[in-house]
Amino acid sequence: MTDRKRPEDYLPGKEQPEFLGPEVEEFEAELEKERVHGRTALWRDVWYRLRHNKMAMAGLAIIVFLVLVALFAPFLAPYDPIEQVEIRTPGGVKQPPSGKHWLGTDDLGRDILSRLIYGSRISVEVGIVAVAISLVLGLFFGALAGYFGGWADSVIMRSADVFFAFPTVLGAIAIMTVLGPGLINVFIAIGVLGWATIARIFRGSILSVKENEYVEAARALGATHSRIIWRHIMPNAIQPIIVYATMSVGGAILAEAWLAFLGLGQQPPTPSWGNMLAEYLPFYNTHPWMMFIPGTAIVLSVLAFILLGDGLRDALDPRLRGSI
Amino acid sequence: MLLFILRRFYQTVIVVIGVILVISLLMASLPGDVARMRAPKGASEETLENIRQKFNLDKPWLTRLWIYLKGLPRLELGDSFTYKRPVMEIIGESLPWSVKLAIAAEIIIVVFGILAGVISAVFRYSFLDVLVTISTSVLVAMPIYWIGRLMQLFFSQWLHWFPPSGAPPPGTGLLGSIPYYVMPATALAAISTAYVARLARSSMLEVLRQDYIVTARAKGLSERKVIYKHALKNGLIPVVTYLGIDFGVLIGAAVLTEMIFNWPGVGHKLYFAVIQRDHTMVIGLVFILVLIFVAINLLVDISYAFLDPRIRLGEAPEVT
Repeated sequence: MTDRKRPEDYLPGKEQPEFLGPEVEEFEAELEKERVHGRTALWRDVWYRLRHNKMAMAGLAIIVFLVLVALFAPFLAPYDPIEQVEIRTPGGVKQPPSGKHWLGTDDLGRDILSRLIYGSRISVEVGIVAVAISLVLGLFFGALAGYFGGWADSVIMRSADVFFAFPTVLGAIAIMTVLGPGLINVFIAIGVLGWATIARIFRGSILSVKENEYVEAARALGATHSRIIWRHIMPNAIQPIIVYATMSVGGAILAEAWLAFLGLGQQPPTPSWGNMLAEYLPFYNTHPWMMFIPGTAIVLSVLAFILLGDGLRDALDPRLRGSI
Repeated sequence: MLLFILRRFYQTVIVVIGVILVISLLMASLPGDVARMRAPKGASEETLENIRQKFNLDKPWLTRLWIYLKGLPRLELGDSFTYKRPVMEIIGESLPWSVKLAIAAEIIIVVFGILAGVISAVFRYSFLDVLVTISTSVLVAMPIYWIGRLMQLFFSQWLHWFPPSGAPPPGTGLLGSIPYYVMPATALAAISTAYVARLARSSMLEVLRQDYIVTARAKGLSERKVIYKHALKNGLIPVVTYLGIDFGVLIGAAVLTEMIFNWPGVGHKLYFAVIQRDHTMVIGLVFILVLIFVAINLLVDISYAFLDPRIRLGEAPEVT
């Protein structure tokens, strides 16, 4: 963690300012300046170390590419992803890759490349929305538990224990059974299942940060609870969360894939990488290349988030500073 | 020690109560007209009404919740409507197969995971280390059912090394049934092996940095002794804890691998229950598997306390 410098006038030996009325605001503003400055320095440092990590940069490049493809899918896809372009052509279905269809056609005569390009949208959506849900719930309850302690802590952490008792696949299956299949419910199931881990990590880092003197100082100044949590504790407690959330995006993409395999994900004909893989899997012995296409796309994008997460962890770890 | 075990028991009891509550909530909120799914096609309204009465479906939501809450501790899970038999009976038949496969997978995880992790840490930045790091990252990123299909394609379809799927037929000896286990157990173990290898590597690296290792080297011990006698014991503590948590990953993976390999275990049953919208069966299977997971974690934690005095005395931080 960075050790923040305090404004000069707070140091012993100098004239102590009276913390009343406008002075409090002035001091806070001063702190704020320090904070912003400190943060940029930290992040510049992190970015510097990240930039020298080839694996992490490869991951970042894949992620940027994935997001761009998802954003510009309609301009990139050569065909309509749902239209059965080659269904009437003799030998048109399950065509191997060719100049006309770069990645071939599937069992219904649809262009696989176009489906892959549109499918990336689902993966990006699942990754962002599900992890955002986990983050909102996890950070809120983690902060509540870690900062206030007492019975709130007990209740929240015991409920988290109950969530930990459900292995992810089983939990997702149970939730999806009640909610029914569909993309929105995939967001909810994966998002809801993820909160407990984030809450536990955040609670842990809050507990270690909240005893610091600068938190005590902020409290003495009469800062509100939410201000102390979000302005003073959060920037220092958030680092393990950033790493975990990055990796979770990969986990969510993977979860979409196995939920689709169970018939619970994005429903056909709308393409998602998960339902494409599930759909092409039965042709593994006659047309093996079909399953390699969505499979490789899933592995590459999940891998990208794992590599970036690994890199971020190393870049954020002060013990590893200078050991790139 | 006793205090630790009691505290751990108390925690488990609370978790189990929570799980029962959650499962009852899910059961009471199941969608669809269950009566219509159970009844034969074209059944009269009267038959439907009878079924509803029999399965308490005519009762309000809260009453049903209460019925499930009372029944679950006695493992009353209801009937599967595809099999027309109690869910518990089906679990009894398929669980042994899953346990056998899980044991086979666990052996692979422990042997290969730890081996790969330790080699990787000891020869840091070597070719082997890079190979382990890359292959574990890729494995973790793969949908597990795809791993299964790829193995079938390579080792069965192309190389004809192993039977493509299914459990060993009845009457097969121990040696004869091993080929049937190799592929499903490896697929089941794949992700966990990768995690264990990564964990073993980082924890060994951590230990190798510590002062007592420097001391051991300074005393002039051979590198082999330093690693196997001194570093390994402490380096593997996190791995042992992880193996308990990992059982959850294994259970989840079983749902996806057992189907691919047509293995007659609980995961296979769960897969088809999900596909056929046999909701009672899904929730019942999930409930039992979660209970098993909780029980195993309790056992792992207690046995772990015997091994590590710091935990026994309540000094070590909470394991996350």
